[in-house]
Amino acid sequence: MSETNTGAPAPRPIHPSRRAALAGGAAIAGLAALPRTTRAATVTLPFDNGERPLVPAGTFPQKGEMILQRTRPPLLETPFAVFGDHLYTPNDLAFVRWHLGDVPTSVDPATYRLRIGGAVKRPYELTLEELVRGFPHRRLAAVNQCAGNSRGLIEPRVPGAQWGNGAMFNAIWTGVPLRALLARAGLSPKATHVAFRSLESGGIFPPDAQFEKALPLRRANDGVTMVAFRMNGAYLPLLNGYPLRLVVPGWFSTYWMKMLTEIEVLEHPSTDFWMAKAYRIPDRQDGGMRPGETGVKMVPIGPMRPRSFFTGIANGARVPTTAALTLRGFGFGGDAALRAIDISTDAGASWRPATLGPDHGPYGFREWHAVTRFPKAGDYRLMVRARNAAGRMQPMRAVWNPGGYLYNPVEHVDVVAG
Amino acid sequence: MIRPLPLLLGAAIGLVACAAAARAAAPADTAAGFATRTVDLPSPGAMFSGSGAETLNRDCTMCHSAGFIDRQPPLPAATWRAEVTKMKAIFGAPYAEADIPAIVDALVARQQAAK
Repeated sequence: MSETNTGAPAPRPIHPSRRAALAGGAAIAGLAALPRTTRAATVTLPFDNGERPLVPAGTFPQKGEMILQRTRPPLLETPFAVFGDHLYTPNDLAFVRWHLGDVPTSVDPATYRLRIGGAVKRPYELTLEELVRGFPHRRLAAVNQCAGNSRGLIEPRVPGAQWGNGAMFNAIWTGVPLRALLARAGLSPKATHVAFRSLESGGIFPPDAQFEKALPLRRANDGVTMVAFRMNGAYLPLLNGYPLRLVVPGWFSTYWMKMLTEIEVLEHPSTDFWMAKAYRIPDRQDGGMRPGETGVKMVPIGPMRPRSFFTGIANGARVPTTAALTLRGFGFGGDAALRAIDISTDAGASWRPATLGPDHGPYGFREWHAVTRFPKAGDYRLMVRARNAAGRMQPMRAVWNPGGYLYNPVEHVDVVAG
Repeated sequence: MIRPLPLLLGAAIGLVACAAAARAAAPADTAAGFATRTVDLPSPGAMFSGSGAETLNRDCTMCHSAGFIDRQPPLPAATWRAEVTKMKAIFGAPYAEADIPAIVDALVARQQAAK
């Protein structure tokens, strides 16, 4: 596969906009003047105990208005309407997820190093400048989605971050293919996996706590997995992993190591907590099991599955009987390109294809639209369903597993015609 | 309608203008334009008040804020016990094994009080 690519559109130049300037100004005034008694804005996600604070722009550094799931370590959800406004999620609205109590709050590029070692012939390290100037770059669009995105919608409920659908974002990533970094080091013939570590280490109490993830060598070395230093053309916000983030297109965000500092080639799978105990799913085709079922073999989560969404229309919306209505939204294919989007206006009894928007490559969001008519007054359940190039289609019902992972059933919206 | 790639700038605006939240970046550009970046993280909703606050502030909030617990769905005691045990076994929470039942009781009571 070519190291250049991509099909992704060129990022537009950045211009200060009046709207952004005003928003920034308002945020400052808000922080300075907000009286303690002011009732904060909230959103209510569609599940029990779903009310969440909507924190103003600037509350978290380099972040816009976000849904607050947890203050420390930060979990910030992207408000869903953002996806209707932007095919590429603005950096300041990209969701945020950290694991350990002691979140790094400072990055010094003068001392930052990326180390490549382990089962290699020539271990080495790079400054940021050496990384950027010493290797070919690749640019591609890819969705970063939390393994537990939409966990709040899973029944029966499970503990963890109670996300709505906003623990995901779409961006154009620029970076160096991991394959090029590994090639310079020279892989041991016994290499099987590649582990990743970061500045997110040394939790508050256990001195050896660290956040480690590992990929099978074939995935790490596929030429698509990359060490990214730009997101939508800009350096990453610190909370999204400045200055370097691993990008694993098509796989869940848990592997997209933020503030990446160490790449260690292994001759065995990782035994770290985050691989051996956490982020695991049933070793079954659908990744699901029955609540309370025992003796299920669990394996590390990996590839994403297809998802699709409506934008710009909400439950209870009134739609006309006298004129055509264009339904819109977006979808993505997961670990294979999006192949088709189908919509239904009769609760899934019949389906017809939607029209797909421009193809920006296999790993990012893709728009769809469908001109629809509602000839008779009454209630309609609209559904949207994605299918990917590997033949995987969104199921009608969510799978269940104890981690609350892999949620991707067909979405629906109930509207009233007339 | 989805607009491609607008408003990348909120981040920069927030960073530059919003000194209160983001004590941003001595503009010491170094490697390939990478700048030193230092931020402050806020703490809204970090501490418990009300039911079980004394226990939970002592044993939970050193690592994570209170709001995260209050945003969980109703969970049975066995699930809370597994979580509290994990916090000690995996993340090194500095409470004793013997303290775990009291923490679990406080969590269950807090969820019941919130109903």
